[in-house]
Amino acid sequence: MVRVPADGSREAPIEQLVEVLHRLPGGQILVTSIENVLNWARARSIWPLTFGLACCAMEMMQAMGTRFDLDRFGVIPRATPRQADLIIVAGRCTIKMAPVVRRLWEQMPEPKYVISMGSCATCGGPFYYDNYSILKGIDTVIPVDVYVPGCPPRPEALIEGVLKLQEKIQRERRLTRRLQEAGA
Amino acid sequence: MTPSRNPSGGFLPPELAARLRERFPQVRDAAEAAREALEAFEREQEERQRRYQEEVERAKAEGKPAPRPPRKEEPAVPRYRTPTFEVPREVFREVMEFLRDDPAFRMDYLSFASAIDWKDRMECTYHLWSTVHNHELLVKVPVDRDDPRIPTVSDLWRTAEWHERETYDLFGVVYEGHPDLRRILLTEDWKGHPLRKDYVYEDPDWLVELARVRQSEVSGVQPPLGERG
Amino acid sequence: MRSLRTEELILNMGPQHPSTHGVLRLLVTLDGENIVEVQPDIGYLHSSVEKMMEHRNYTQNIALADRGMDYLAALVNEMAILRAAETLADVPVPERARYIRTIFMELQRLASHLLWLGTYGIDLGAFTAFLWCMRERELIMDLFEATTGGRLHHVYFRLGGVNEDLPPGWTDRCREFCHYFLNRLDEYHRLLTGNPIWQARTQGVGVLTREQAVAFGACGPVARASGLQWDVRKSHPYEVYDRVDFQVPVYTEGDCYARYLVRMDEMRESTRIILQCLDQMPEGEVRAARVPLNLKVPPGEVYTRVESPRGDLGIHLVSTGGETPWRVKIRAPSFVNLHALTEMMKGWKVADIIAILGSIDIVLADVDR
Repeated sequence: MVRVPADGSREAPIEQLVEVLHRLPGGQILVTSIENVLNWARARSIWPLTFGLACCAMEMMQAMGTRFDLDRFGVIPRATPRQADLIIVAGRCTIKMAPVVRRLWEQMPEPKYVISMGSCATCGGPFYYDNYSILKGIDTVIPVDVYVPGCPPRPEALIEGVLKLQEKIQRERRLTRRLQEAGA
Repeated sequence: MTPSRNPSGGFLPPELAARLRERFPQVRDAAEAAREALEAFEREQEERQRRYQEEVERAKAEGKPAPRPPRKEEPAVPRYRTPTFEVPREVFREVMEFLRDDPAFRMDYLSFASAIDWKDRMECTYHLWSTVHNHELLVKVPVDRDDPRIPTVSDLWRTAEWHERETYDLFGVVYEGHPDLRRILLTEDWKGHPLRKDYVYEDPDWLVELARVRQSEVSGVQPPLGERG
Repeated sequence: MRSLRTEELILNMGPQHPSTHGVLRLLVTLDGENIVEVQPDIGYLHSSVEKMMEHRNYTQNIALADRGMDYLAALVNEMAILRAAETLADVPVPERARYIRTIFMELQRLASHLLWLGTYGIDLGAFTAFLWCMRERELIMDLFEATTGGRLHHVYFRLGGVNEDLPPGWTDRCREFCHYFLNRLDEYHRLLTGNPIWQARTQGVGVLTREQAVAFGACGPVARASGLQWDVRKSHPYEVYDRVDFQVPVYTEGDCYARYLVRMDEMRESTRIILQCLDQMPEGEVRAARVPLNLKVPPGEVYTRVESPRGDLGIHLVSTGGETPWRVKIRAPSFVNLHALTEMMKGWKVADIIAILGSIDIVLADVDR
């Protein structure tokens, strides 16, 4: 969590503006409205990282392909974590791969989201027992926002997951929380 | 290339098998041995059946009830549907060179090199195939399970380089003379060789540390609560 | 004149890279723009399938083979496991089931090659190919779904047959698809085969000679593009492949373009096989009676192979007579083809890495298992 410095010298212009508005009578409503607009924009342009691990990546490709066309929801894959808002962990993650996934997640700029696609990424799935190399759930290394069940989930299920993530983003109160922290 | 004469599995002409045994008397034809064991088993079964018939007749003559027929038994003899040869370690290199270079064999294609852990012993396996004659055979070499060592064949077939690395990784078989023998699938710091039957999995230290960091993020408390790490 | 002192540079590609087709890491040693050496670092998707198979019975292993091995050719993996188990246990398979299996394996080959063509198109900058191939692949997925209920993972084949019969009207749908697809295939040819950019990126690039292909154990389309006349469907026929008429496309150039052409021709042949099977398929049972789900395979060993879309997929099955195998060695085609990649790449430019890597069509789950 980024904390606002006391003198406000290093704040982004929008945050300075928000702080000014917040001091005005009735400014809280304005801040909430701005927040809603920001969330709306954010939720409608989720850019995932082009990152597939195993079988679920095929369904992810199909979801971005011709029939299902995730582009309709503003989901446009990016090839580098620096430009991505979302990482879809599609498939089983091995222990050898775990630090790599963690580093990719760390390289993504805030705000960032994680969808765990398929049972393998969620809990190890069919690779839970008698197995020595698969991580039992990606949430042991990175925090997950939406779990999509299935083995592999159908493209529709992934779209549902993205829509759920949009709902979640729409309800976020980042600015308000930041202001409260600055005020406290 | 003519289709394989044995559609269910591999095929090796009997005259070639005889040629190999003639050249290397130490080599044991596992399929042949299994066939002999099966014949012995069948002879034994026939013998038991014959004795049973005698007993039945004797019981009939004495007016006693007939004895129970013997239980039908399945042979415990392993089936070898692919031509399989057991080669002692001492002549292993020679046999492999012979199989590759002999014009009648021309086994120029190595399908895989691997191993089997039998708990009390270990066997290295090689599957050879000929792109010219379309015949194939499986070579098995018994090795010491506690210190498995075997000469490399990566100079005969380039593809063995990776297969041997994989077997080293998963079974711990050391291939003597291999140009670059290190782990291929698992991380460099992995403990143990997982395809051995007595392998027990252990979390690597760095994974435990990573999970601990993640746990501390969840709880939002620095330093982390609890003994999970 | 003093020559310029140069140093070699090591470039790291992956494991997260949009063009490595999965979690493959390549350590490329470069001299300027020329590739000196390529060292693939694999194992980022090692799922310990061979270990898990030792703890599951043969029916469960079918489900595991779908997921743990080459996930783009799930039905072919099922066949690989079943061919080994059925050979060792002498399980009878009804005629109709054999035909159904063959049809589904060929549909799987089409689906796999279509995905390869689409992603290879993206690699070389032809995005249209991706959209077109995905469109046709969806139709195959529909055919799969109507019968098996699954899109990627089917668990449809069983010991001694298949799970259930084809739904009514399926054969007509499949026939219709085949004719539709043959037209589409001509469209792909018009889009790509004569395309000057496509040819410039692939022709003469990443050559693998026949001798190298045999030495590296290369198989499948990679070997056939290098002039090795070898298809497991012909050399070790299984199911009904010896009863249908099809050609094995072979090219001698050994470059990326030849590999592309081999796969394109294979798609046409697969469609022909499906159409012939649909015509020949008899009525009757699809599953042998009295084959238990937890079949005890008698002790013994067998090595069988099937032709997966990526090449010769072999299973060395060792049984000690129990419900579970003692050891399953999966001889993965992508594993050996990836090894051959180290030879193919020597001497080419940085920009060719992706073209060569894409042309061998690896699936990392197949490489690492």
